[in-house]
Amino acid sequence: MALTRMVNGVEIELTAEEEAAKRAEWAANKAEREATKYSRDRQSAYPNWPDQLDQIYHEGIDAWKASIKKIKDDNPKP
Amino acid sequence: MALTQIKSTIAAPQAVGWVKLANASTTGSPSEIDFDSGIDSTYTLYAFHVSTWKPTDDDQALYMLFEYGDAWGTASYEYHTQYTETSGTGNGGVAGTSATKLNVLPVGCGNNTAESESCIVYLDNPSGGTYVKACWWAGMGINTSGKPVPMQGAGSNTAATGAITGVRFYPESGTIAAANITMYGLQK
Repeated sequence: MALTRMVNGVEIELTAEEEAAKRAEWAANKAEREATKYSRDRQSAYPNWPDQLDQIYHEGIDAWKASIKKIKDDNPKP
Repeated sequence: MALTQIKSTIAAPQAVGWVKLANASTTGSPSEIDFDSGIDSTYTLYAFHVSTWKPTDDDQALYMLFEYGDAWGTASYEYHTQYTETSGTGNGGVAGTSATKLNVLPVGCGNNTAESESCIVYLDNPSGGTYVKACWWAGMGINTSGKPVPMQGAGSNTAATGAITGVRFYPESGTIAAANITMYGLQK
């Protein structure tokens, strides 16, 4: 089925050229998202700043480095 | 030269507010939603209320473009969007320089039945001809884990000072399963 766009509330079909460009853009965006997935996963897994500082205070810098390293290792760069 | 200041003047009280200009509510599954009419010098601040935005594919960001005349800008965007993953502990952000779009809601929206994203996007003085145009946004989405994620950001096309005549909303990839977007202008 042809792709469409909604312009000022009215849905119209993309031209063949526009559809090809849109599908190429989707493919590029998917590749970019996959390539940067590790970074987003790391951001979600890192403890927040107060908890990290608390860990450094109570357990020392080496324990903190070990916990950060585990997150990096669990979410490796492709 | 002496420093100066500008003092505000008292205007006669008058009712002002947001004026509804256009609405786009999906019935099919378009790949893009455009507003390219009604953006001019009539209002100096425009707002786009993106309600219950739902991509067809899972985990898709919400992107935005500006139109200048009949040409869509596809280069020279700069933006910063911050978010907090409430399902975990991370505070994240994305930034673009020399980007091909504005990344408004970067945390991919889930496409399960009850998941969607909503936000409000402001565009200041789109018809002005001197400065790059200021655009900022705030919203939230239900991510692929079913958790709410707050997001806020700002951006512009830093290479363009011409009048913006249109705005496009579209998912990172795939079509739009559902969306309801309303454009407003703030009465002068």
